[in-house]
Amino acid sequence: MDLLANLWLGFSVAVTPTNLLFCLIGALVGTLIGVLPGIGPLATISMLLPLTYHFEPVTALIMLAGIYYGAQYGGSTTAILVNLPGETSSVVTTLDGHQMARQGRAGAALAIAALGSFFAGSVATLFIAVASPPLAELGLQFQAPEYFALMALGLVGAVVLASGAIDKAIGVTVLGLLLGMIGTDVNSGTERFTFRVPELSDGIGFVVIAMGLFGVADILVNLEKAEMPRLTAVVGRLWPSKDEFRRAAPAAVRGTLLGSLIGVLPGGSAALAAFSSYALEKKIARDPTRFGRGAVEGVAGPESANNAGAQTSFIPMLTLGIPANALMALMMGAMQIYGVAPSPRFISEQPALFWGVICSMWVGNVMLLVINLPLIGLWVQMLRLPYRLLHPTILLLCCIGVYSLNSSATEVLFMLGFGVLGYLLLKFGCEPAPLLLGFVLGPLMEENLRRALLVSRGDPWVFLQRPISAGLLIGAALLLVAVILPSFRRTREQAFQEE
Amino acid sequence: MSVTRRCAVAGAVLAVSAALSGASAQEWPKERPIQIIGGFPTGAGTDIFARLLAEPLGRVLGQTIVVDNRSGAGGNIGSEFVARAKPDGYTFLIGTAGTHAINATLYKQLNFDVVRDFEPVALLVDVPNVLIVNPKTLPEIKSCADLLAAAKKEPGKFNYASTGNGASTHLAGAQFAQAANVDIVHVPYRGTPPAMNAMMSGEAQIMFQQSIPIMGQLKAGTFRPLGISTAQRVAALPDVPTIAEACNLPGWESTTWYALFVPKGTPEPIVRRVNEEANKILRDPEFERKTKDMGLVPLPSSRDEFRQVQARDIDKWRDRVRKSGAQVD
Repeated sequence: MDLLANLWLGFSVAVTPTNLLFCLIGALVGTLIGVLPGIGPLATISMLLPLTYHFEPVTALIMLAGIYYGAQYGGSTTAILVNLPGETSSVVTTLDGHQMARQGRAGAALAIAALGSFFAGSVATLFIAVASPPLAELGLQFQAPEYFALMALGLVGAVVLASGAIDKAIGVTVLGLLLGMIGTDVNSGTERFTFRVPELSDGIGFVVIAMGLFGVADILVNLEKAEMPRLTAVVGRLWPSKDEFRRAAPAAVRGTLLGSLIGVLPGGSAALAAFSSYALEKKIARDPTRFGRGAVEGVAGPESANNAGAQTSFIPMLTLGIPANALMALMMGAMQIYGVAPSPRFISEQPALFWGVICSMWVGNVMLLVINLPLIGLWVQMLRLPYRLLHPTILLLCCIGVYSLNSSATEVLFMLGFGVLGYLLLKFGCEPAPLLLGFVLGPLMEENLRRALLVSRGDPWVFLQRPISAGLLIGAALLLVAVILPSFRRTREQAFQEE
Repeated sequence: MSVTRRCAVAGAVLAVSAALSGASAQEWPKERPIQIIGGFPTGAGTDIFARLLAEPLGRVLGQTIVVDNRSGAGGNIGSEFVARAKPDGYTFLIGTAGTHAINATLYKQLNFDVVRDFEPVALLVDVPNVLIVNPKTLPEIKSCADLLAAAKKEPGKFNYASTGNGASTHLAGAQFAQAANVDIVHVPYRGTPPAMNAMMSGEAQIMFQQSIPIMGQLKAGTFRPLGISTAQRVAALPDVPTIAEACNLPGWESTTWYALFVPKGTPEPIVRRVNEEANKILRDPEFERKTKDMGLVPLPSSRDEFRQVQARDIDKWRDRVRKSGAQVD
């Protein structure tokens, strides 16, 4: 039983008093920055990095990892309570989580988010322990054609995300695609739509758009209401009801599986995992119209998915030595300074370090649950804050968060601009979430389309010759048909009724 | 509530870092922390190295040093920020041969001048690019000579990955292809992680990659190093020949350095002091070991030597950029 021996080794490292302490510190700091909008784990970890040079590598990694997955827990809190995604991965949590809060079910939503995250964290830990090497190999099957196909599937999914009219969802997604065009084109080095503004040369930041469209726009919409709707803190009991549990549990399981797989893909992220899970839940729901109006599954699925994805994104780095995203690149840099550079031989060369970090993730998830559940009652009280205090606080936190990304005042102005755009979108009855998905996926899709054609020397059949790419494209086509057909039918029905 | 908590955390962090950096001799007014601006994202080589340097440098100067990345436009956003900063000794830039030599030609319109607007402080390290292939995708290629023979036999077959248009990894590849007269196709990626993934999956077969992120891979044998882009072999990879030796291209080299700059007009004593301290740190055995582990070559040098290196490299890269056809606008 290699696995048991490995886990034993891992836990013996993870539960030493020092490592437990730093795991707790990491989880606490992570929760905190997760709650603060815009202040992400990347900036925090880079700030804390110099402090860790004096630690044992395993202790340092345990703490840094704790910050990362802790942030995924914390990010959902503001998303649910005040419709403000604390982390990019909690954007979708705002859709149904905040609606639940408006109906007095904030406590239930927070509890489901925490429990779903815990479940996902535990399963993902086990997943990493059992299946790291084969999963990492799967990631390597993904080349440019597969990424293109995956993004195409995601974009069709973006339309599914929206609960309103399909034409509006498509329009908003296309707007997102156009915004994604801004910046320097990877393949040619040409700047597009930058108007010689240096801050635009690398494109607009995701956080800038998300904060503007969600945080600022929501405040603007609320401001014009003469009578503020008072939020009821709790309707019924604070905890989820039996029915809510029953609906959340399977969604959490599906979200965990999906998130674990997407996290492994290089370039996949917790945010993509959350988006996909939401689309999946909505697609398989018996009554999709409940989504966007406080569906429990819309909280449980994505919250599980983003936490699972955050954890499995360690796999490519720890098993192949390839960072899956910017944050993992930072972790890898840190590991090099500690003198333990990751590589494919990492697990066999540093078993105590590898298994120690993996097992600490489970320990950290237990801690996060213990930290978060009692806090729920406290967070819910925040809803009693009058708007005149809540709104300026949110606005200030958004500004700090965006400024902290690149220390750029221009980006804060961009955020305010997107706030106005978000306000207009809401006024026209358009949902902002598909815009964000288009914004994220569009540039990746274009980049990989052109790269695939560059590598195939211009042969378009490459997308269908490769099995994974062909499968994903067929999936996208089917989903597209499924999206179009019902609305097609509905318009026809309406036409009949008018006769 | 969140705000107070954040302050508490920030306070704790500052207290700990102050304790770690310690307080020593009073040097220049300590009104606020010194900042080292980086022009590349957090986690990039410049960021990692700046943080490594900031700790001992802060200790000897008795100052808190903060690394602040203002990334974008190939490092130009950070450079422009420092070019316009007050020359009071509180703002430094970790520049590279990319930001302070290559970009002068690569970008047609810069809002600042890489020579006139900066005072060079200290040359820090040479950053070699390693020519790598993946032994799983190209098992038969064991040396640069093998690679050149294979590439000549099938022109246009191999792809070389880079970390972006106009990045040193791209220019080294273009410069190599031209010198060796082989037809290999450039495939740019958005930074190191996707480029390395492409090398792993076999989408690209050849790459000039900076040593920092691949030291572990080279030791594990995932990537086979065929040559190193420096003029001499480097201590961390003693068995890897130079490109000049391995590919029979006498005189070929292509490296980028990291260096400290300040805005023009910064008081002379401050510049001199930081140059001296940086050189001392670069010669410190413990620090030297850390830089060598990352495959870097410490370059302690006088300010005049640094000035000459920069002037020479601006000319050298102008020629290489033009020949490669790379441009960004």
